[in-house]
Amino acid sequence: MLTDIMQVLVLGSVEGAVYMLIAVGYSLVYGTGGIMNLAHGAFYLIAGYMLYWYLGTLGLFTSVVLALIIVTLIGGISYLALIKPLEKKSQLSVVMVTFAIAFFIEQIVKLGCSILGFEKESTLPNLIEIKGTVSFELFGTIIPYDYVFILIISFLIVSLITLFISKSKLGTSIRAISQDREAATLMGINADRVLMFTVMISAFLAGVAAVIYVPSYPIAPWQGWVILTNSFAVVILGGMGSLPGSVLGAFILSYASHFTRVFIDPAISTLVPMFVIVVMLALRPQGILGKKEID
Amino acid sequence: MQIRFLNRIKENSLFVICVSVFYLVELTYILTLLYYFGYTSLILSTILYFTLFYFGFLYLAFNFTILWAAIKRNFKLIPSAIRRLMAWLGTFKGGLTLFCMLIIAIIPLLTQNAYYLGSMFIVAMIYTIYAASWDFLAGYTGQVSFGQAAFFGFAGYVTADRILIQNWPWLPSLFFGALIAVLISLIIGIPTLRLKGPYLALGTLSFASILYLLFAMPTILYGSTGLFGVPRLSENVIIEYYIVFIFVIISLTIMKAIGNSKLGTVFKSIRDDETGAEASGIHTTRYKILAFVISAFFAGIAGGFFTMRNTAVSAQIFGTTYSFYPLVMVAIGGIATISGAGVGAFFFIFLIEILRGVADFQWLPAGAADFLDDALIFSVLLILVIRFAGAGVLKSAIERLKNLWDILLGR
Amino acid sequence: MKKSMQRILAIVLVAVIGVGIGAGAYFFLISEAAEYKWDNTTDDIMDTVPGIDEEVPQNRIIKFGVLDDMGYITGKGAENGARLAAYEINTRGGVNIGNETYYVGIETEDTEEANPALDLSRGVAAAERMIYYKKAQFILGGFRTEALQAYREIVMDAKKIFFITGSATAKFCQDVYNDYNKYKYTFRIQPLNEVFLAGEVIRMLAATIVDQKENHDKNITKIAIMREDLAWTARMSGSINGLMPFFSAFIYGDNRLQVVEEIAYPQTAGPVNFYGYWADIKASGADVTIPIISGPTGLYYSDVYGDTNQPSLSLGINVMGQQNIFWEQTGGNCEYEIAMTSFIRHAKTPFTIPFWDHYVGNFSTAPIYTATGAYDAVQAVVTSIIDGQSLATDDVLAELEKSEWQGIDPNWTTPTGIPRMPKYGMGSPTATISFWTDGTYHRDVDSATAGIQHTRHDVVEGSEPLGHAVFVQWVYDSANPTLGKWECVPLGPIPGISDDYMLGTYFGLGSWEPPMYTDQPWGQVITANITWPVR
Repeated sequence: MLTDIMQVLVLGSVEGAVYMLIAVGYSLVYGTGGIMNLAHGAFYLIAGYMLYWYLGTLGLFTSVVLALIIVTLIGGISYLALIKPLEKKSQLSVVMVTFAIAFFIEQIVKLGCSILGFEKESTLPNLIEIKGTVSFELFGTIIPYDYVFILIISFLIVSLITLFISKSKLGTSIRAISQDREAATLMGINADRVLMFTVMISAFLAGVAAVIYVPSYPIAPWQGWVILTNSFAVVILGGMGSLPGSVLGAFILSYASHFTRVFIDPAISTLVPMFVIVVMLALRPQGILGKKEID
Repeated sequence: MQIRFLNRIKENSLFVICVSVFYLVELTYILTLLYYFGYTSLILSTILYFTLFYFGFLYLAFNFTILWAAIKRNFKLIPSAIRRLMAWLGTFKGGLTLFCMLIIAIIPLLTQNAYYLGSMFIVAMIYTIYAASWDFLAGYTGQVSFGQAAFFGFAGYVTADRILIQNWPWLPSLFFGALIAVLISLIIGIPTLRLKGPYLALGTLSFASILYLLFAMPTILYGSTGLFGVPRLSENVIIEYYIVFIFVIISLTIMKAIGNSKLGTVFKSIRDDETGAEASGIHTTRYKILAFVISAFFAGIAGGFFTMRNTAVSAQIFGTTYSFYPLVMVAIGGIATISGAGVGAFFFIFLIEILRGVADFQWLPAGAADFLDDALIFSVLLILVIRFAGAGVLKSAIERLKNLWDILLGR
Repeated sequence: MKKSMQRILAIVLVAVIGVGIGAGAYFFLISEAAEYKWDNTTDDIMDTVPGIDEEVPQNRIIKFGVLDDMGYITGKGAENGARLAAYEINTRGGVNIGNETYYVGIETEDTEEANPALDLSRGVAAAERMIYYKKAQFILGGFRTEALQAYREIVMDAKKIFFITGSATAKFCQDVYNDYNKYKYTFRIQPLNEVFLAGEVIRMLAATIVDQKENHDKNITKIAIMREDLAWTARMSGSINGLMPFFSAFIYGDNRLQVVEEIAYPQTAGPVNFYGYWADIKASGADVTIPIISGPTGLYYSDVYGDTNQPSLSLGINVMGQQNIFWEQTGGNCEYEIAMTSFIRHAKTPFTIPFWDHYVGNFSTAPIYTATGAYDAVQAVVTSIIDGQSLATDDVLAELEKSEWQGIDPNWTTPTGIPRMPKYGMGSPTATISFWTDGTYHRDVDSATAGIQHTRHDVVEGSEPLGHAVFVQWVYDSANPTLGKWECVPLGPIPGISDDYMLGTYFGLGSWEPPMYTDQPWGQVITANITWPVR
């Protein structure tokens, strides 16, 4: 029993921390620009694969840095080249183009694997190894050292981002735009530039999530969609566009799904996020902490 | 009221209707003959039929003359819909549509290869209905469904279940599947369509994932195995071809007709200015749900056919790829056109086939085949089309062709 | 003037478009070019007709189509195996039917069935393309039950002989028995079915338990099972669970031996966290963990097996573990893991080692089970073609079903020139065919008519009566620390467990009465040689 509860706590916290990173980025872009980015899961995917491809030749540090830089650039480029020009036309084509980007990145990842000679689905060596082992036991639960690292890094990054948004000049612009875009533009804020940075930050967060989580988790090309639907669940639970809501949603959701896995059935645990989406859409679509948007 | 209606028919259109019914019966005869003689004797059996029973084509010509005389006599009295149809067929677009339909109709006379007819043309026609159903929703009302596969797949499963397990004939199974798809669409549509914001996109995408996970569970809902061994519409691929063909024409006509009707105008007003539509007293949520339901119905029809074509259905039918396909097809063909879906679907199938053919070449440099992956090429294509040709490729191409045609006719 | 010029131009353009469409339709649908051509130019083993360096007339090619996931190890294995057989047959002069020489051609179609998100329509389309477009005469391949079930129907409707080379579901051969007229074209080469596989795992487990008890004074009592949540693993797990009490009574005299933990993880939504599962297994105190995993998640299974320093021995079916780069893929985390495979380079039959060497020489990778299966399937079909002197499906079927010969006959040679080993039915270098009639197993087929009516078309490879599976253990190799090495765990006969007993498991546990063996002495000779995990 103690072991089971520990498992829910530990694994739930770790997964919650990862989803927090992903969902905060997702929420940030939606809250600021109203952009529904379906390529968000693909950002995670491409960063994970970059790490996987480079790790053998470039070493850990370089490949992590490179993966993060590339995924941030991909975020910026996809905003500048695709989202920004379409945003003026219609909201519909923005959503469609992000869907297409997600699909494209999935194919690119597959292509990259066959060209570079990697297996499409794989596991990576863990990041941290102490005294020849990569994990330790606590009350019957086996915890890789990586998980501790994931918790630390994700909370650190999210705190930094929050600090950045509340204190820095760019952060102020982000907040201004999310409140009233037209007014902010009138005040002389370059909304496009700010949005570009927002998408880049969001891609960076997804990249960080990938880089810290992939070494202790397998990687597969279709994972992008799972990540995307799970982060939907998180933001719907917490409230679309609300950062504290995303943090809360991420943890509630992962505890719930690990609780189901341990105490009910592993097969049902994969359904938990989907169940949350349906229930929330039907009962409280604005989420726990979200703004009311119903007509 | 009823008597007046009957009198009108008696006086004016009875003859036309009789002859038309007669033609229908003839067609049924030919199809029955075909069914028993097999497709290889398609032409032979047709000729045999006419020469033996009706003294050759003279009879056909005679029939045509009568029909034409009747049409001419009652031209003004033919219901306006038919007159409009005739007028439309006379225009460039109508003529082109008729021409394309005729080409598709005669394909089985040109080739009897089961692979071309079955795996290419029939699948392309099924995708036409599917893509058109997506286009109906997105094009006319501006609501985007990223989980169209939910209806497609659910109807597929239900149809397969009716045919395989309940031993129903295929036609009721097909409609039953489509009706269940309608129910599903209400379940998704009612909570999401009343909200502003991208909730429909989100709801549909997640709902398709839920269905995927549920149907992939090993023990419930036919297990991870799915259903297989579903009989095809007919063992004869040509009969299958024509059944699907007829359904494509009916479905596309209905969708197009709704689009051009008053209802379609309401849909478009919601798409163009939702607040404005609401202000002028239109209950937007209700109309959006109606459009969603119609779209789901046709996606369901397509799903039923798709399952029967594949003889099997598994959980992956709910996968993102199947939600992605109609987007690509419609983007290629042009949004809000319905007919563009057909062009997109055929283009899609042919391009995949060409890519496969190229990948089969032995002299291809190593690794080059990887670039010929259809999903990769289509995602690039979709990005490019959305970015640079929002209206789709078809519209401008048709305009060019029309200009060409006008010049040719000296207009 | 300008207008008329424009008009002429327009007419020309429209005519060009019309003619273009017409010509295109003619070229792609009707003309000769629309027929697929089995091109061959070099004698490269990867070319259509392996081993022949010239164009072969289309009607002189015996067309074999491989349907499998070409992006996964099973598909590559099936293709390579078939190519190797074709290469051997062609380079030795091809196949003579009447006065004509035929050559074996191989083509592949990708069914994408290894994709965890399985799309049945891909497999169906591939089968249609192979049969109706490429016009293959004989089909082989397939490894995932769900996909196979769908496209097997297409192959059966087309009445083509179909050798299944990778799927272990009993249903395929049961169908031959249930609906012979429809499914008589189905054959299946090992693995026979899930109960057979369970029997093999149990056999290995029994040897391990007895070895530890007799030689190391270690009592193994707790067993854990970790499996993909799929239909075939559920049946296998049922077999293992059902057999456990009998083994326990057999080995310990009581019911000490038990399955203490069973985890069925969903593989549809992606791998769920294996740290949790392995923690459960460690907490349950299991001595042996049995994986039943065919998909790519096997990699994650092994990775976390090492990461969590499991004290239990992993012993079972993990298809990823049959690949010789497994050590590298898991970063050595698969150490101590025992994987079941069909073949390894040892003399299972007199023909195994030559086959192995030839295969490794050509493809520089070790053959997995689909490779040997496909190799044998091609050999079996070609031998039947020679015997029946006909390419017609029904003639080949009749030849394949003949099962009269006994013993190795040096006068009978396969197309490769090696004396074949006809045991029960025709043989090929590593295969013998056994036929089961209605519920019974024909150890000796003494009548020419026996069993034809009610065969199940299971093809057994290796020595009699069943071609036993082989177990290999991944161990550290000081000479090559990054690649590790396989060590074969030799498994001799287990005294007291007769082959009849193992065969009894073949027919499913539902109707199966456990044999009485209380009066049989438990043997002394156990040959299991296992490196136990030291953590």
